[in-house]
Amino acid sequence: MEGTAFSIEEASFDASLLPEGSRTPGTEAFHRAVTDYFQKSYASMGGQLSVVFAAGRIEVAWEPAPAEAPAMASIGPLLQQRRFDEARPLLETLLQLQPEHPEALYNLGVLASEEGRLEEARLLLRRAVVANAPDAHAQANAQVALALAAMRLGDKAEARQALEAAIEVEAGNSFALRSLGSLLVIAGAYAAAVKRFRQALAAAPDDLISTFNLAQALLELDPDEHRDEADRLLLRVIEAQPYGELSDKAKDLRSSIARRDLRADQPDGLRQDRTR
Amino acid sequence: MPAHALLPAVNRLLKQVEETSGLPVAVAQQSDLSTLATLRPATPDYQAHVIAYRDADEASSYHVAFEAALLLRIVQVPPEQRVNLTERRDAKEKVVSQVEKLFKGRLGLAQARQAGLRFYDGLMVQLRSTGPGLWADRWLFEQVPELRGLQAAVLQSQVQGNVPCLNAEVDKMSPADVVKASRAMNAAYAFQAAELVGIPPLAIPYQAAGFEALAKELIAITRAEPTTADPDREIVDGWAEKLGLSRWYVWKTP
Repeated sequence: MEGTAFSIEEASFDASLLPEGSRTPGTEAFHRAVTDYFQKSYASMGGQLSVVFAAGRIEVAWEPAPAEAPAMASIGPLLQQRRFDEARPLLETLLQLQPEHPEALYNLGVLASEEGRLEEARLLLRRAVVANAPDAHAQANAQVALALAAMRLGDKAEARQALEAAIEVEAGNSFALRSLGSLLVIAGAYAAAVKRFRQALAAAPDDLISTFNLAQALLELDPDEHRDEADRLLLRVIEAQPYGELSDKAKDLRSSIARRDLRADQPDGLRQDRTR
Repeated sequence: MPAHALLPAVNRLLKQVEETSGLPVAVAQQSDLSTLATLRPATPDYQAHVIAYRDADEASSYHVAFEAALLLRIVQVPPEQRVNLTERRDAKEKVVSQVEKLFKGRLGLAQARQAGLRFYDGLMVQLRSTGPGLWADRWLFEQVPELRGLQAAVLQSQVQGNVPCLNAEVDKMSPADVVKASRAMNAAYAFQAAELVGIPPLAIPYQAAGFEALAKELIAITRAEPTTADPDREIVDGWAEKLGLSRWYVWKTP
């Protein structure tokens, strides 16, 4: 539970919660009994409680116990719940204590990247790549994050280099493969992109984004040759994830295939329903 | 690409809504929403239900599930019995008049009127949504246990966000009837959240402020077996009675 702070009028306090003889607002007995009530109420939570009486009001503040030494075990759940404002100071403290802490460097780099502080992100993530060298998977992830930051900075060269390095240390890193595929699509290298998306799908067969991207790249590469495969892939996306943006895009792409089929069936360009 | 795809449990729930209503459900992220999520049931002119959510984050799965649960109830009300909660002019003007008195000499009449309208509208939205919302939270807790982790985070965050409404300063800036009813509804939310999440201290501020008994009565209304075809309306009317708001609104057919 997060910390909480609130104030209520002494006169508004539910006196039935207090022992008889201590129910008169403003008296010392009342203040003592109210303080006892809050202490008992928050006892199971640990942390620090403050109950202050001022100008007829009860000011209550409860804070959970601070982490003595921030450990990744306690920071991880905060990151998973996207409670970044709470995770960031813990990560920064950790980095001050251990300047090359691999996970602190990685997570602070990712946060900086997500928040648009891209140069800072790039520097942190370059350090994270080095610090994570003993763990191939963690290093690959750091390379991927570095690539994303570089892409956001418009530095496609560093992005591509980082993704290729990630795949080198972890051949089955589906996110790296997928991201490299997307980068290759941007560069117009569709055949190479298709190869990377196929590898991404081999590593993570249920990855719908790779499935969609592969379909898209196949259609760019050769819509005649790859029409059927692309259509099957798009159908798989729609069936697995019927709602949301991705399925909408898949439906749009399937519609474009259908339109293309229709045009191909009518070489003179006339619509079937057209009459003169 | 979507930052966070909806969880499979949410897709199942959406499918259930589609099967029950016989109409499609469209889900869309809309970053300019003023609330975390909203729903627009299908109309004769627009034959699809729409659920919109604001933030492309993990919690959005819960917000969409929550709206889907509400929608599932709405689509089971026979169309000819569907009604909307609408304002009562006399109740609205009473709130406006209270706010004008409260801010006399400090705010111009036009500003005071605007503030009064906001208080009235805000309370009616809270009345219309909180009770059925409590039902939806509990239903999801029981029927879709896969969402409990997300639900715990969402409920706690909401309770923490509501706590400042207890602060004494609020009394000086708001009509007493509005504040009292709003706090009682927040209390019901906090007591149920404390129960579902298993953290009793979440409800302590409201217990201290004397809202426990009323909050538990409101929660009981959301758990009662419905006696009509429109259970949400029963909840809203039941809450309104307990909160002294029965004469603040009327139900009208769309």
